[in-house]
Order: sequence, then structure tokens, then C-alpha cells
Amino acid sequence: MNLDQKIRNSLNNKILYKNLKNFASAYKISRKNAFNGLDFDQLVADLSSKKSRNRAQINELFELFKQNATSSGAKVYQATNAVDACRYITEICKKHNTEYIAKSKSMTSEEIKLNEYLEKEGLKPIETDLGEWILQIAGEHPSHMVMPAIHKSRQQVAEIFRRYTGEDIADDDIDKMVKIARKYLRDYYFKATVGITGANVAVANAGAIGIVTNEGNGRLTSTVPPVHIVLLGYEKLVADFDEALKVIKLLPKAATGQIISTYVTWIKGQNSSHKNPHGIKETHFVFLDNGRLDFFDHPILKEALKCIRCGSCANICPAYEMVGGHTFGHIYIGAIGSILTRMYHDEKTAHELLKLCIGCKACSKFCPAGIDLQSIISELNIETTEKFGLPAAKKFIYRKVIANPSIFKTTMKIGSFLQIPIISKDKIHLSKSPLPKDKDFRVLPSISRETFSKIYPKIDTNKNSMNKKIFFYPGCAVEYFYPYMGKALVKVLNRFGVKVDIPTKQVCCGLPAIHAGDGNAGKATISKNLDYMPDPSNYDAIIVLCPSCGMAIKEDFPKHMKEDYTKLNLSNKLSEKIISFREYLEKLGIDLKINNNVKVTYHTPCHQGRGLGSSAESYLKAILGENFIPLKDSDVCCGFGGSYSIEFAGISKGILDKKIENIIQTGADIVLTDCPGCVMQIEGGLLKKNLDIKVMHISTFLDSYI
Amino acid sequence: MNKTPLERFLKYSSMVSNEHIFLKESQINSYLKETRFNYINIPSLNLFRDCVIDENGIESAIVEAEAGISETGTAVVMSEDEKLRLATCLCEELTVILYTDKIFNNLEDIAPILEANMRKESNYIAFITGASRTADIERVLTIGVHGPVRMKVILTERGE
Repeated sequence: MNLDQKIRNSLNNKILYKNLKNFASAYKISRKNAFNGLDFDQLVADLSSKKSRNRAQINELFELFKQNATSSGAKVYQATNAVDACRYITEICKKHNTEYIAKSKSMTSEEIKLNEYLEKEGLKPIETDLGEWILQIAGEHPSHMVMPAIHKSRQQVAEIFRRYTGEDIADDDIDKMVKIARKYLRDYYFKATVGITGANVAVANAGAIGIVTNEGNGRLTSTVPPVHIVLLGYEKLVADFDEALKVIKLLPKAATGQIISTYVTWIKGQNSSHKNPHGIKETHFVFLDNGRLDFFDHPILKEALKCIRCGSCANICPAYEMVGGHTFGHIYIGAIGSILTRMYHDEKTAHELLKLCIGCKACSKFCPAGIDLQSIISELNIETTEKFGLPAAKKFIYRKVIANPSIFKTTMKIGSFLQIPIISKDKIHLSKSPLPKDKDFRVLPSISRETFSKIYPKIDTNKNSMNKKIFFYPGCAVEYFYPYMGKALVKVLNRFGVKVDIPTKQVCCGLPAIHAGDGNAGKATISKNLDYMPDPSNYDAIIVLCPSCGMAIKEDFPKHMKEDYTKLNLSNKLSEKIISFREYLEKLGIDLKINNNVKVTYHTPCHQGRGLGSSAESYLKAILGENFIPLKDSDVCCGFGGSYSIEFAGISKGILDKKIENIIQTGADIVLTDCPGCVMQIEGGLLKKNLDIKVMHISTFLDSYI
Repeated sequence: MNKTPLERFLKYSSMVSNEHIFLKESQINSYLKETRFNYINIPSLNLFRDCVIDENGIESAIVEAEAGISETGTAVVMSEDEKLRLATCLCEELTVILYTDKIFNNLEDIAPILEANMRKESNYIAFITGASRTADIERVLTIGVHGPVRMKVILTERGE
């Protein structure tokens, strides 16, 4: 099945939709409660800096671990790859003549497809984690790292169990299902001679491992059978218990919103086991390389080795919430999954998965190990796109059209003529979508007859009382679709004595090309853009109405201009001074009064909240008082993501529908936001559904109502 | 208001539905007589009882905790003894005796205890916070999937 088919199937799966939606909403609440009173950012910074290690440092920790772990006779094996690890583990199992193998959940064993290997060798591994066992019986794979069977309904599980056990189980009797699992799995612990677990941490200075479970299956697997094999990656190594406990403090809170998991088990060496002739357990630690060791020295991917496998990057990912881990994942799932797939599995598959990222940055914000997942995804997307290529049409658009401002302008001009037959009565939207039916879920805006650059000189200004000066970068959306938003900004700022300058030529910020994976086109566009940027020291601020442009200027300009000293210098200066219109108003400290009584709510654009780093919520609450109604999940993506909303229209629409549901809940008359892209998406969706709720950019709102 | 370590322990331990009993050290013996535990391991009072433990499990076990962690409501149980491990894994009801002077504030405070005990060639230490649980079917919380179905914590002050 190709990715498109998988996406379609996932989107049509009502159980998946319901389960993931309910989970996402409950998770956010319990996670917030679990971190209540703790300084999350500080905890993350601590863990992240501790886990910054290169290959030599990891090797040192490994040697120390080995020395301590083997003092009681435990064996430590270094497996170079998946087959090597599988073969070693199989040999141990065969040596002990075991038929059954009790297994406690281990993503590393999924990575090397251990069960398949063991089964081919005639062995019977039994997954003892309830979710994993359900999937093992059903012949499926986990769709989430922490909640493997999250895609299954209770009715489906009942059916799986009925078929497997022949017992009578009512469709909704979860208690009975759990009791059945308890009964069946209890036997296997005692039948198995070998138990296999993973490890959440490996403490180097003690030679001990820590295993986290809620069910207690890790304890049983490591206690009842006389042989214990621990399979783990080198990234699980930590220096000491202090570092290990930092992981334990964050992991359950980030994974499921629990304060701590029910069982945290610390094991060192070979403990007592009456089933062995000498009364001592036989213990093996299998350290898996599979490319890891090299990645510890990789400039970007070394960051991904900080992952503690909590799954929060999936839990808060709007795209994952629509399609689940069988579509957005290979073996590892979600944001980290697309990165780990590039590292340990197939690059081509990774290339496809990386494209599923909408770029909302929620994963980076929520990661307890401080991994900037979205940046890594963006870099890898460029890398794999270079290797596997971009569709010809896209390449043409990013390289020949957008990177060249004159051609871009002409193209938009032509577009503005071609659209005439389908312009709707309000003049600013299209009555018919030029897109195919399966991508037509929004009413699209029309291309403005006049660009912002053309309108700008005609705006009335009171030049006399200007005592401040800012530089406004309009970006393509304002320039070609929403010049009235730019006009509103100029009018509002002029009222407060701020002069507004704009670029002499409008050039794209480069983000669309970068997001599509065309790094070269992105770089060329940024370079061209900088030709028309001023020296920021002449201005009070550099201002945007589109936070995506703002974020590109803040982050991508310096990142992509490293080879050009002059432009890098300019980029750094711009990066320091770039803020949004609302942030600037707040900085000015002007006391605004709103002259209307409408109910207003606010959607926080991703690149405003997480890109530029602040939401307008508190500002709007202050100026609107009781007329401001908070929006549930205000900072969750609206599903736009630029060309993402066309390429993955089904996912985009699904995310938008949830946003609209929340908007309706507020009962507001107007939805404010501060990104033209979000306006395009949300307004388009509301119009398509014939809902009488207005969507306005903050600039237009303030110009109309102060 | 700042809670004492004991109050905070009770808060988090209650969140996982643990039952709490307050006993003086001198009352423990009679408590053990009233409640016929299959397995007993309380080194501080030199109280032990062994039993056969197989796949059928046992009804009840009582063990002494080495420490408590108030920020998580956790009991730290030294589990080097295989029988103790089996008993705490395979009993229906687990009772833990925790001396209140051994309750630490935060997870990090346990690092020295782990460090010291893991200097041995081998060891097995368990953090236990409530009964065995799962939410793997539609995220519905269900208790007792593999191990104990109930957990009790006896909080004891040292001396009379």
C-alpha cells in the first residue's frame, strides 16, 4: 500500500479517529497536571545537556557499564546490526532449549524485528504487555510507542480475544478482557526459560539498568524465567543515578501524564534464581549499534539519540492525530519515528514520512529531552529530497517562479486575470475552487487586483507627528492576497506616530521552498530577499503580519546564509529585531480601547506561539475584557501548512474541522488570529460550511474597531 | 501551603488508589496476627514468613520499604531476595510498611540509596507506586493486569 492509500484508509477509520482524538484531549490535561509545580523548561534543559554526548563519551560510559555489569558474571554483547542481535539472542534461547520466551515491551526489539526472527527459528516469543499481546495475537504492529494498541476499540479487542481463547467475552467488558490476559500470560512466565526486556536507562557507574512499566510485566519477565536478556541501544546509557532519575522524573509525565509509572525496576548483575542449578540467574546485556554509534558524531542526528521514547511528539502532533502510527510511522512512529526511520531503516520510507510533518513545531516544544524535532525533520527533508528528487512541477515553482520576484509577480498578475470568471460577489474570494474535488474543502481567497506594494504609496499618512520608524516585511500572502491587512497595519501604526517603510521589491521569505525540501531554492530565495532588506539599526523594529515569514527571518535566514558573511551579518541583525505587529504594539505600551461589543476568540498561529514565541491571548484579554472568549486548543495547528493543505488535503481538512468545532463552542462572532495563512484556512473552512463567524487578522480588527 | 513530606506522600499515594493505615511500631505484631499474610518480610522487626509461590500466585504479602518518595507516592523496596520479588509480583494484595522517617522529598534524593546498594555485584530494587495497572484497551484504566490488584501502605513511626 502506498502512502496516499494508507492516508485515505486512516482518514476513513472512525475508530482510529475517535480514539486518537479522545486521547489527545485527555493527554493534554493529565500532562499539564503532572508537570504542575515543576519547572518543565529547566528539567528539559538539565536532561538535554546531560545527554549531549559524542561517540567517544558514549563509548566511555559503555566500558564503565560493562565493567560494573559483568562483575557478577553477566555477559555484555555488542551487536553491530539487527541480524547480529537477533542471532545472538536466538543462540541463547536455543542453548537453553526453551520453547516459549516471555517478552516485555521493547521498541528496540521492534526495530530489529526480533519476534519474526525468533519465530522463523521455531521459537515462541510471547509479548506480555497487554497492548503488545493484543497486537501479537492479531498479527499487527504497534501504532504508538507507549500505547501500542491505541488504534483498537474494545469491541475489536473482544473479538480478537474470543477468537484466540474461544471464551465468551462481551463486547464492552474490558475487565474480563484484562482478566483473560492475566490468566493466559501468567502461564507463559512460568513456561518460559528465557525472559527478554528492554531498558529505559543503563546506569554506567553502577552497571545497572532501569525498566519502567505500569503492568508489572517487566518485573515478572526479569524475575520468573532463569535467563534474562536485556536488549538496548547505546543511547540508553546515562552516567549515574542522578541522571537516570532525571529520565524517570520526565518520562511517565511526558508519556501518559502519570506522575510516575507503577513500577520502576532497577537491576544489576545476576540475581538469585532458584530454577538454575547454581541458584543464580543467567543475564545478558545486548547493546545494539545498528548505526547508532556513528550517529553520536553526526552534526544533526546526534540530537535524536537523546530521545527517551515517551511518544509525546506523537501525542501532540495534529497530523499523527488524524492518521495514527501505522500511516505516520514505519516501526518508530510520529515525529521521532520519521527521524529514526531515516537512521535505522529505509531512507525512501523516511523521505515520505518526513513530508507528513506540517511544520507546527508542537513536537519540539513538548519534547522532554529538548530535541528540536521539527528542525531535524526540516533538515532531513532537504537531505532526502535532494536524494530522491522533487516532483518537476514543484521544482519549477520553487526554483523558477518564487525565487525570481519579477517572474513571480507576473505569474500572480496572470493569475489575477485568469481568476476573473470565478471571482465571487464579495470580490475577495473565489466562487469555485480551481483545485480537484478531493482537495476542495475551503473557499479560497482571490488574488488581489492590486498588490500591497502598489497600494502602499496611496495610504494617507500624517507625516508630521511621526517619531518612530519601523520596517514592515509584508510577505507573499499580504502582497498578493491580503493587501488590506498591510494597509490596516500602516494606518494603525501611523495613528500612533510610527512611520512604516517597506521593501522596494517583494521577495518570498524562502520558507515554502524549505518546507518542500528544496534547500537550494530556499537559499537562493533568501539571498535575493536580503538584497531588499534594510539595515535594521535604522529602525525601531522589523515587523511582520505573517509569523511564518517572521520565523523564517528569525531562524532560517541565519541558518542558510552561513556561507555569505555580509548576508549572514544582515540576517543576524534582522533576526534580533523581527517581531509581529501585535508584539510591537505591546512593546509600545499603547492603551487601546475597542469600540464594539462583539464576542471575540483567538487562534494562536503555530509560528507565532512557537516560532516567534508568544501568543496574543493575554494581550487580547486585556484589551477586550469579558468580550474575549478563550479558544480550546488555541495553540494547536489549524491545518494550513502552506502547500501541505493541498498535498495532504484530507489531513489538513481533518485538523481544520477540529479547529472549527472548538471555534463554534466559543460562541464568538469573530475569530482573531495573526497569520494570513491561518486566515486563509479558517475563513475558507467556515465559509465552505456556511457558518456566520468572521475571521480577521488582528491588524484589520484593530484598524476597524479602535 | 507547603505540605510535609508525609502529607505529600499521602496525596500522591492516594492518587493511585492506595489504602493507608497508621500503626505504631508496637502494633505491627498484632496486625500481622489479625491479617494472615502468606508472605512476610520485615527486616527491621525481624519478622519473616515464607511460603510456596507458583503460577497460581498467593493471596497476600507484606514487605518493608527501604524508603518512600513523597513527590510520587512511591515505596522503594529492596528486592534482591528472589522470594520477595515473586511474592510482591504475584500476590493479590500487596502491603508495604513504610517508616515515616524514611520518606524523602524528591526522586533525586533516592540517588544515594540506589548508588550505595548497587555497589554490590548484583541487586534488584523496585519502585512501587500502586497496584498493577493498564490502560491499553481504549485507555480505560484497569487494575491488576499482571500483579497485585490492591496495595496498602502502613505508615509507622519508629519506637513505641
